Formats: sequence, C-alpha cells, structure tokens
Amino acid sequence: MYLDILFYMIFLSQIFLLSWYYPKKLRTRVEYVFNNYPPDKYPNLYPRPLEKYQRGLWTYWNTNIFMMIIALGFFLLLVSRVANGEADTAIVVTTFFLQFVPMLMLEVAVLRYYKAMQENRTRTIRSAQLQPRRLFDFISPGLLGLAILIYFAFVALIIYVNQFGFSWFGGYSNILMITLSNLFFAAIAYWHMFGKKMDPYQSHEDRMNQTKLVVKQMAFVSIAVTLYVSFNIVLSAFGLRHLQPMFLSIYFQLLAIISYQAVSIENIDFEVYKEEPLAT
Amino acid sequence: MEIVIDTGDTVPVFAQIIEQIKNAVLSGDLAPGSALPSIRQLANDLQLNPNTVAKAYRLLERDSVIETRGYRGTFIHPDAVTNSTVDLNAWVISKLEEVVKEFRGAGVTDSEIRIAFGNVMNNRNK
Repeated sequence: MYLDILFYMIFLSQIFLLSWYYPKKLRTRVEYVFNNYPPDKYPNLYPRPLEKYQRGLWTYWNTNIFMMIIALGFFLLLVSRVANGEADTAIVVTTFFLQFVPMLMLEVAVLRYYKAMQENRTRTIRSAQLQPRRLFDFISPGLLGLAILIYFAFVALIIYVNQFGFSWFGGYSNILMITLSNLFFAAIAYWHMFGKKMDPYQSHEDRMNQTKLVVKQMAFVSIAVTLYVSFNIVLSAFGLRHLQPMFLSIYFQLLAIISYQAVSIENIDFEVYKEEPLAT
Repeated sequence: MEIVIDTGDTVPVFAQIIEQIKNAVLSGDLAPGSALPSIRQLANDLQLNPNTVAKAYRLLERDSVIETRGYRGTFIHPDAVTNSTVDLNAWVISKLEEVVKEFRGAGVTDSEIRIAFGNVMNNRNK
C-alpha cells in the first residue's frame, strides 16, 4: 500500500517535472530573451520574424499542457488499478514518450532556427581560435573516469549474472545495448566539440561553455543509463521486479533533469547578435 | 589567438590563413612548439572546405613554418620565426621579373615569352 502511494507520488512528480516545471522554465527563458533582446536591437538573433518564434513557443507550451492532460489520464488509470499493476511499466514508458514529444519538436525547431541563421548570414568575415580543442578542456578526467569505471563495473555485473541462467536475463545483449548507447553519447559529444558551428554568430566563450555543458550532460546520461540498467538487473535478480516502474519513473526524471540543463542566460554574450548583417 | 578571414576578399582564403599564421609567429603570438588546431576543426570553425585549410597547412609545412607530428597533431616549427620571413611567392616573382627583363632586352616578344613559359610549365619541350 505504502509502496503504491510512493509510486503514485513519483509518477505525479514525473508528470509535473516533464510537462510543467521544465517546459515552464524554458518558456520563461525564451520570453526573457524576446523581451530583453528585441529584434530591432538584436537583428541577428531573429532570422525570421519574431511572431514566428512566439507562435512556436505557444505551440511548444500547449503541446506540453496537452501531454500533461493525457499523462494525468494515465495516472488515473494507475490509481484505479484497472490493469492490476501489470501494465505499470508500459504506462510509465508511454507517458514518458508522450511527454518527450514537445522536446523533440523543440529540437527540430532549434535545428531549423540555426539553418535560417546560416541562410540569413551575409557577412563574409569569419573567425576561429588557433588552438586545438581537447577532450579534457570540456570534461574533468574524474568524471570521464567515473563513467568508464561504471561501464566496466556493468560489464562485470553482466558476466557475473550470466552464470545463473535467469530466464528473464538478456545476457550479453545488455553489454551490446549499453556499448551502442555510450558510442551514441560519445558521438554527440564529439560532434559538439569538433563539428560545424551551428550558430554562426556565437562567441568563442559561449561555444566553449555550451560544449562543456553538452559533454558533461552526455557523461551523466551515460552514467544514468548504465546505472539504471544495472539496477534493474539487480532488482530482477532479487525478485523485486514490482519496483521497476517506480525506479523507471525516477530514471526518466533524472534524464529530464540532466537534459534540461542550460547555460545561464546572464553568461551569454548577446552583443554578437546586435550587429546588422553586412552586405558584401 | 584568433584568426580572422574574409571570404569576400580578393586574396584567396588559404593565402589569408598562411599570412595570419606567419604574422602570429613573427609577433610571438604563436611560439615554436605551439599546437595548432586540426584541419577539420579549423575548417569547421571557419565554415570552409577542409581542402582549403589543408592547402594552407601544406604550404606552411613546405616552408617549415609548421610541422605535423603524426597523430599528435600540427605544431609550430622550431625554426618558424626565421622561416616565416621567407616569402617564396615574392622570391618567385622577383626571379621571374629578372628573367623577363633579360628576355625583353634580347628582343623576345611578350607573346613568345608567354608561349615559352606555358610550354615549360606543361613540359612540352621535353
């Protein structure tokens, strides 16, 4: 009973964090930019009319609200115990993916925004730093070492658990799955460190800060994914599979907390967006 | 140390890169042994084709202003300060001017000089 109540509270927290708290924080941040860095003074910040971005923000926010209503419907389904607890994991996962939809929409919009910025750019002057970027400029050896250590501990766990021949256990495919995930995270970090500059106006310091944040996020996500899968295996081995939906929800919230981190707006150099594009 | 290029300038981009790296070496902003970004990194940062940066690096390496140490990357050459003062392009032009002056003195027409120069460059006389 107490466990059920705890699970409901954690699930409600998932709904609140992913569909209200973080989207609201993001909305406030974007509105702050609209109000304090208007198009007439910061033309490079708006490759398309401001109204387009205001409409986009409205769509993002309302999609979150819509998803929150659906998620609350799922919550009622959980509380009413219609599915008798067996579908709890499916409900948590489905809710997460629905809540993730606005985030995906936002990612696509950001890519389009940078593309429009590149298209609008008429300046022919470009600059770069004559220093090589190295991995440890962006992440501490300690954090990277911790991520690697956790990965190898996970491999050891899989090899150990594999001896017992549990029917539910996926065996070495777990290692493959986690390795592929980590390679994906590493590729994202690499792309941010050495890839093409998305925002053509962004100052060097801002780019470095942004990259540091992304690389750290990838390390934390890698740690979270590896720990979650390990924890899940341990729960199953000890016959505590009924606790999985609760920990899954905590895991999703952890992912959201990591993913929604952003460079403080006060530390962004908006002066670079001030200059009128020079025609050549 | 920042490098600034202008893609609208009449000076080719690779020449702008070469000139700025040499100037940075001469001013002491880039000391011998300093590491330089990889071709891909610099090309991405300047939003250029990697071949353009590769061409600049190749010519700087030929002039011993930079050196590539395998997988460790590209570095400023120990003799870069001396070597940055040598402008091979200016040297070629001054040599050609001397030769052309001599030809003209001997009565060779400009048209004949151009054709002969083209033939020599294309190895037609071999």
